Amino acid sequence: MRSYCHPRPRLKHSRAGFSGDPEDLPTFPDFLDSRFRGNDAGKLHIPRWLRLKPYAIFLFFFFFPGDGAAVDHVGRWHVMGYGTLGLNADDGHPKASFIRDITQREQDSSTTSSLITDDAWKRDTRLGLQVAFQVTPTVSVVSQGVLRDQVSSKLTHFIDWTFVAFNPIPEVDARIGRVGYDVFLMSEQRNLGYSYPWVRPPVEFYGWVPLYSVDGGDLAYNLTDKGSRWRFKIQGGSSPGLGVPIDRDDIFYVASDTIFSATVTREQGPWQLKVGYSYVHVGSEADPLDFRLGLFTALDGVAAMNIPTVSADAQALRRNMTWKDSRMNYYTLGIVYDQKDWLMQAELGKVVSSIDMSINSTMAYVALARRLGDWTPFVMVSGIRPRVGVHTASVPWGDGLPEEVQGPLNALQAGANQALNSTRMNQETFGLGLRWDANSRVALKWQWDATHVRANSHLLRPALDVSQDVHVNQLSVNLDFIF
Amino acid sequence: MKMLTHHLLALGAVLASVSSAGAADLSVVAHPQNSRDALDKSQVSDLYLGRTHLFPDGSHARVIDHPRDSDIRKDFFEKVNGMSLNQVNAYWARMTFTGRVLPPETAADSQAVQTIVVDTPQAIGYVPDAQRQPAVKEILHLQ
Repeated sequence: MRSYCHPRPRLKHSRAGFSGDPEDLPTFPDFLDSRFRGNDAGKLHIPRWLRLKPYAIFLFFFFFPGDGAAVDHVGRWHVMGYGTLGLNADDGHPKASFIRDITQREQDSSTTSSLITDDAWKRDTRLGLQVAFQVTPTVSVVSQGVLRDQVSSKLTHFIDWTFVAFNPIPEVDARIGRVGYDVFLMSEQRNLGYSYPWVRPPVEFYGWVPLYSVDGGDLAYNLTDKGSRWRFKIQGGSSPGLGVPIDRDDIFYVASDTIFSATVTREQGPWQLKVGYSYVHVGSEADPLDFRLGLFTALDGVAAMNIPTVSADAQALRRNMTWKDSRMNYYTLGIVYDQKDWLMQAELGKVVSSIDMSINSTMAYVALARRLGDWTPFVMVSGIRPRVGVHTASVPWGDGLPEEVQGPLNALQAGANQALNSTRMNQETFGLGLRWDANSRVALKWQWDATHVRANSHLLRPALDVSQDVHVNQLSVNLDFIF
Repeated sequence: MKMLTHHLLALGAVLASVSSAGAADLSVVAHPQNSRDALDKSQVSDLYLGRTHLFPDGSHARVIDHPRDSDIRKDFFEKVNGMSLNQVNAYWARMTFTGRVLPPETAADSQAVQTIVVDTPQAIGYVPDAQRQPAVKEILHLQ
């Protein structure tokens, strides 16, 4: 999927926060890999029969037999799964189309006036399948794959985790392999719609997080003290990567060579408090896209010219675009109150990156749900704010220089600023919805979201024209199920 | 007249048992050799929510639950920790599909639960108090 031939730079790809070379991504074992490889040797294909279709999910769900729990766990295989059949409609604003997270490609709202587009069922629809084997009471093997709408067709990006879990002593649990990225409250359950009242985790908080898995392991220590349950957990490894769309044709693969996370969770009665920290290091430069190379070369050239002020500016801009050896620090604080009738959940997060090309944001949400038998109405407010200002050309580089260089210098300055602004996310959403537990395995949800996308913000907006605020209304209907 | 009184009393007993079916006392039961004579609600809740796999003495517990949709399971969780069945099901979905722990094994009915408990020293289950067999030991009474 490395067809870097698109002539127009679509810079929002870099909003993912970090990048990596797709060649460095771990590959699936050859014997399986070859079965899914198409004619294009550099591209993995999901076979047609595996591609997500609504009727396939219905059929699978309808005819799948079973209760996940077996008579005795040890020595037995457990096959179980979950899924969501979703449908979205929005008011079709040409400058802001809905995505659930940044691995999805926005629908081209400018080409249709329909409220429900061909892509409307894709955003939230997903099917997860988990296989577990309990080797002994203290050792198990778990693997989970999730078919969902994402631009990457690499098979390895559909395997969320495959690990061996140990309980060497009762207070300790450890996992080795590909484990779920666990820092935020909902990090590991983003795809599992059945487990939460709302149709999806708030996009402003979770939509930009490009990490689902960590190749490495984690270790948790559990402690009970005076009615409080404490869980101290560390996690380390590297990111298997995900694909982020750049435009209609190209995909930018994001990965990280080092991830370290630490969380502390305390539960007491209906309260849960979780504090998390995550360090992400990007060891390699981003994909050498043509437009990107051109920009880098030009900035390096201007920096070498020793033009007073201008060269220093160019050097600073170039430094802020260099992914190699960049670092991100995530901080998060989450709180849950889950009593029989009421559920309140809130999170506050902050991302501090060493370069402006990555994400530098503060984000938060608060959700409140009331359980009334099988009905659960809820309300949610979420928002994300950039921590860096808009890069602008306060003093055009060409000022005072010969006419023949004024134009190119000013254009270069504008292009570089636009690239750096492409990772800014500045929007908030008010959501109102209802969950109905149809039975013990199926929940139907409705949700209305009103999103205010502010100027110079790129989370929901594919267009480069970001000079004005946009308001988007969206209605979602999701059917969540487990089997 | 005596026969009619007899029938009316029997009918009253049936109606009373039907009307109180959802609120019957439950017994949390274990094997007679289990070292614990009693557990509190919080300890039983932790076992049934997968927060621990161990009895307080450190021995491994084999937790037996009732079918997912059963009325007795609904009563049990309401009595032991105040959780509704929808809450419990969502909780177990989260625990299962984040790979942390598998849900307890299930038995078809109270008779099957007690059969396992009688045969398995580390087993724990729950049954209606009225159906509790002498061969099992009650370690928590839930009203």
